[in-house]
Amino acid sequence: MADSIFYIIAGVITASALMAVMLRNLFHCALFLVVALFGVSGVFLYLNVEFLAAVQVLIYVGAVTILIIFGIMLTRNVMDEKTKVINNQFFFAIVVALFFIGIAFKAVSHSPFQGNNHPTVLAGQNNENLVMAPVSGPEEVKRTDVYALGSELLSTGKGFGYAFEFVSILLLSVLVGAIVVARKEPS
Amino acid sequence: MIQYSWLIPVLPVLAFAIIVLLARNFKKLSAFISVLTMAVCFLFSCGIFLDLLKLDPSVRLVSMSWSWLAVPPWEAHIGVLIDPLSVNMLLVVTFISLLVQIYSLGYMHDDERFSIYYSYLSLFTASMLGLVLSNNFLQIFVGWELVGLSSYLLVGFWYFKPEAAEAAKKAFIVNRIGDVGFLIGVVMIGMTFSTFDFAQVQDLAAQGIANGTYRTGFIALITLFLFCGAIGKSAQFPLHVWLPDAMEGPTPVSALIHAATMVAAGVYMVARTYALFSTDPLSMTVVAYVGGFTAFFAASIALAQDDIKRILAYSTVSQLGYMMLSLGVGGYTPGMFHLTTHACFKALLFLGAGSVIHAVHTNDIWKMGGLIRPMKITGVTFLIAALAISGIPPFAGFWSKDEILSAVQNSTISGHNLLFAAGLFTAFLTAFYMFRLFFVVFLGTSPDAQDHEVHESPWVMTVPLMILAFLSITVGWINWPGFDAFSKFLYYGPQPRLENFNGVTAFISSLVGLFGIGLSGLFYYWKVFSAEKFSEMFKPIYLLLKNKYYIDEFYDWIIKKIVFGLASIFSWFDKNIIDGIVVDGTGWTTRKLGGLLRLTQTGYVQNYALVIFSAVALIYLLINF
Amino acid sequence: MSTIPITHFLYLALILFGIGIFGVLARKNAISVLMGVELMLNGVNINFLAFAKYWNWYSLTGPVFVIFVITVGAAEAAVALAIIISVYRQWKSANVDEVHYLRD
Repeated sequence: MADSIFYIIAGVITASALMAVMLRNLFHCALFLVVALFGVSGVFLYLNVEFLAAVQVLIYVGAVTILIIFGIMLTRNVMDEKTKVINNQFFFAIVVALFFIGIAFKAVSHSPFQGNNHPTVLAGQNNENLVMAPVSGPEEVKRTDVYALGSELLSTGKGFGYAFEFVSILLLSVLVGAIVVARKEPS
Repeated sequence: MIQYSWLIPVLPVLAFAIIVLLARNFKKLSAFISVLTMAVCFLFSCGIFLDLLKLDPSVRLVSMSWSWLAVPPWEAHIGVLIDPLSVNMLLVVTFISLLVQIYSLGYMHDDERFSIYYSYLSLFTASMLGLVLSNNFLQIFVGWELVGLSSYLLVGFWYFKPEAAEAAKKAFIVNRIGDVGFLIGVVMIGMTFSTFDFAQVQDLAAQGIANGTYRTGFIALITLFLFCGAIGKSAQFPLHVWLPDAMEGPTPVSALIHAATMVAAGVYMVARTYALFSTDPLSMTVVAYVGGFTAFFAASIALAQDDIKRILAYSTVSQLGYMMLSLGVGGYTPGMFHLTTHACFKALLFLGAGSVIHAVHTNDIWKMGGLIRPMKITGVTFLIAALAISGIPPFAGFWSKDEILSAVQNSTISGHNLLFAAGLFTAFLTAFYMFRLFFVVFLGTSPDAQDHEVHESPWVMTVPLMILAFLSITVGWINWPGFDAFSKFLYYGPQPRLENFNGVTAFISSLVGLFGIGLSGLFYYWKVFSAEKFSEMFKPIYLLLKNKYYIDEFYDWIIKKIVFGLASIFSWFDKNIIDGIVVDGTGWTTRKLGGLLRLTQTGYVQNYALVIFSAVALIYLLINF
Repeated sequence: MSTIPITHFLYLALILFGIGIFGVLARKNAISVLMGVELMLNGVNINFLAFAKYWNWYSLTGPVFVIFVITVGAAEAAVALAIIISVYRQWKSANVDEVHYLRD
């Protein structure tokens, strides 16, 4: 039963994403985006990353969407309602998007990741044929909770510590830069 | 002395260089340098001749080569070949050249560009000697072209006269047409035998024919191409048209180049490559018929000409035809013998004509008359030369022409009786027009147009005449039957052929010559028959002959219609297609393409994003399908 | 354990990505383009996590990377909005096709 809910969530995501890119009223687009992001957060739950589901809601829905709505408010044009929303690349964009999805679908469907079997890649064994083995034998069960995530994120030796620091600096520069770019010139 | 024979062409080149660079303004000095060089060369040639005689007949071939241009694995050589043929030519060229240069001291005395004239003469002699002494095809081709150049320079010496400039161009261009064939022949030789050396080519060709490695007619094809050059250089039909026009040059030049030496180069070349020619009856037949036809054809034109030099020019063409005819029927020795005797009496005829022109300042024979009274030496020597060329014994021409006729009669070539009859008839014509010239110019009464004093030419001009007259009488005696010095010296093959003298033929040819003289006298001296009435009766034939069978007009028409027509097609092609489509088109296309490409720079970021995503999709497609 | 095959997650990710492409390429307003970009990023996140779960019995690299993606995506959205606001101030319009002064 849990699986069928996944498909419902997937449908919701798709529908609201489509709405988000096709509506005339920008504000409505933003709202549909919120719904889509919520849906994605739900999908994260199916992927056993509960922490990330929470992060998704916090950051994307909570911060990014608010930011977008602020942006929409600040750049409302008087002419907004009358102009066309879709530009003259409409046809090509649809073609390219469908094409992209189509070939990627094909790629995925030809891939060896069929079925429910989790391909098991054991350390030290050669891993050519991946369509395969049902789960059997001893496996290392890693800890997948927040603790493990945090230590992975912050350990400089085996983890992503350095990347973490760089991203922090990036956030700092973004903070400063956004303020500098968007402030009114002191006249 | 033979090992220094390479100096012989080098000395006149040095003379040319010295005169041009240093002695241009000193007339006497330039002449002195040139004449001195020529005298030295002549003595040198005599020395080489004597040295050659000391050798046994079977080893009379000395060839020396130096590397000229090395492009590995192939090498071009420059070399000297001393054998009876080249020594014969050496003697003829240097001697006649010396006499002509001495004669020119008087003839060109008042000319402004006296020094340049002598420099050109030296250049010509150097080229001719280089040609004659060469031992490989490349070198002979170089000499060939150089003599053509010298001829151009000398014929167009008075370049301010438009006729002279045109004649010089015509000489060079017509020669060039023959030279294309010659060059093709030389290239074919190089490609077939991988060498240009005469001796090596002869040996390889003989081997190849014995083994049957060549397709039938292949060697004949090569020789026919080579013969094209001879047709051009020796003014045979159909490339004879340049020689009469070349009479625009100074008369000593005509004597040297267009009588004795340059035009003989074609005959020399055929003789030199006789090993190749004689292998195939086709080549020999072609040579014989071209020669025979030319002999008759030119003699017929000479009958109706009024310019003294033109008559002599056509006479030269005709006599060269005789030489080619002789070579074609297998008469190697008679042909070369006639070349030698002809050099003597034709040079004499031209120099005599020059003497006459120098005195009366006109070329038209009808404006001259009775000149033997004031110009005794010129007249008598001219008479001797005329008798020689008409083949009257015991003068020089009789011996050589008679040997040629015997060779034709005895040959096995198809239609040789026709050729014999043509040769005999041409001998008649030769005597006729020669004595027509003599009677009109030297005998008879002087017309009223001649009002200034006519006097004999200075001794610098008459002494060469006398020397040549002496030779015109005696040179033939070298080959007196039984003595046969010439035949024993210059022959083709392992043994000389000594049986060329035929009493019956000799008698008939002398009779024919006398008949020609007599008939000519009836027309022009005793005036029993009237030449004007005769030409009126046969007006069409007379006009045909006088206008040289309209061949010049025909060539002119061909050039205008075909050559210029083709040229205009190519010009259209070049202007519109090459220039228009390729050159301008490239520019236009580039600009248009540029204009098109500019449209991709929309400045519109979403366009760029579209392109990026499409590219990714395309790459995926390309990789997987 | 849920028995949803991985390919379904991948399809979902792809659909989101495709819709995001369409949004990026076909919308006039700059903020709509930004929304399309966010959709693309989310699709990519799903992709990462799906593979992380089904591969090597749960590698932690997946979620870590997704954290980075979310972070950088948020940063980029902030900067983009700052730029859009300042562009709007200058040219009084937030439409992409009216701000093409790279050309001409």
